[in-house]
Amino acid sequence: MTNEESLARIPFSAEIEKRILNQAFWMNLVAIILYIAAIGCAVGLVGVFMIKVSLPISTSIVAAGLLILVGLFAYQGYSLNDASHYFKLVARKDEADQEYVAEGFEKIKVFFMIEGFFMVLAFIAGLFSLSVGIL
Amino acid sequence: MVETQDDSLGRIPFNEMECKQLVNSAFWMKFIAILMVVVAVLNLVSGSFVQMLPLLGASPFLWLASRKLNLIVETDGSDQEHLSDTFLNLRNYLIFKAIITIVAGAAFIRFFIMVPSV
Repeated sequence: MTNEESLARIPFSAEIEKRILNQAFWMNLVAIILYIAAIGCAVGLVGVFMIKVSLPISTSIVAAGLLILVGLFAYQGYSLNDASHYFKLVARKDEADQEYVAEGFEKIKVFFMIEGFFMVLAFIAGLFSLSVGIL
Repeated sequence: MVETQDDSLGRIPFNEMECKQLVNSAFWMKFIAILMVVVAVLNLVSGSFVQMLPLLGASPFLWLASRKLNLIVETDGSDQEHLSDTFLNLRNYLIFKAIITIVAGAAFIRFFIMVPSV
């Protein structure tokens, strides 16, 4: 940890630059999947009101849940796309590599924070299905 | 822009704020990796093997990425190498993440198709 001048260029080999671009590609792909998930939840949200389905819980709770999911999926995709943008800059440009690396990891942190929320949800769902199975 | 691996930097002079950013990211990665294993074990116990496998596959890569990211901050000598390893492990994690999201999406759709018939 120092206050030395930030590196404009980190001398990655051609192979590593390819690896970074490959990672950025997968980030974009996962972001697209997350956007599709957000659209799917939005369609589900509309469907809850349009089609009369017999839900075991109140329609407004399902709608609120879906609305939260739309926002979370979209924001997760957005932050991953943003991180991918910074990592691409690391591989393609030599203007502020060190800054871009730090920014990229800062953006990916947001993605992981939302992922943490989903994992806690999956944990609760797992506990629920387990308790239902036991009962 | 392109150089050989021999020119690799032993030390990347991240400042205090950048170090904090890296450590924070590493913390969240490790946290998710642990949660993934817990959820995978829960899925295993409740018999959902399809959801368990990608979770178990992804968590070691995320754990390794987090470890390497921490090493960049904690040690000097192979910073660039650690950074490259972080990128590689993150890429592998993202491949599994794509599978996990598709599997979870399919389960979600199945649930919504089944609900009206309940």
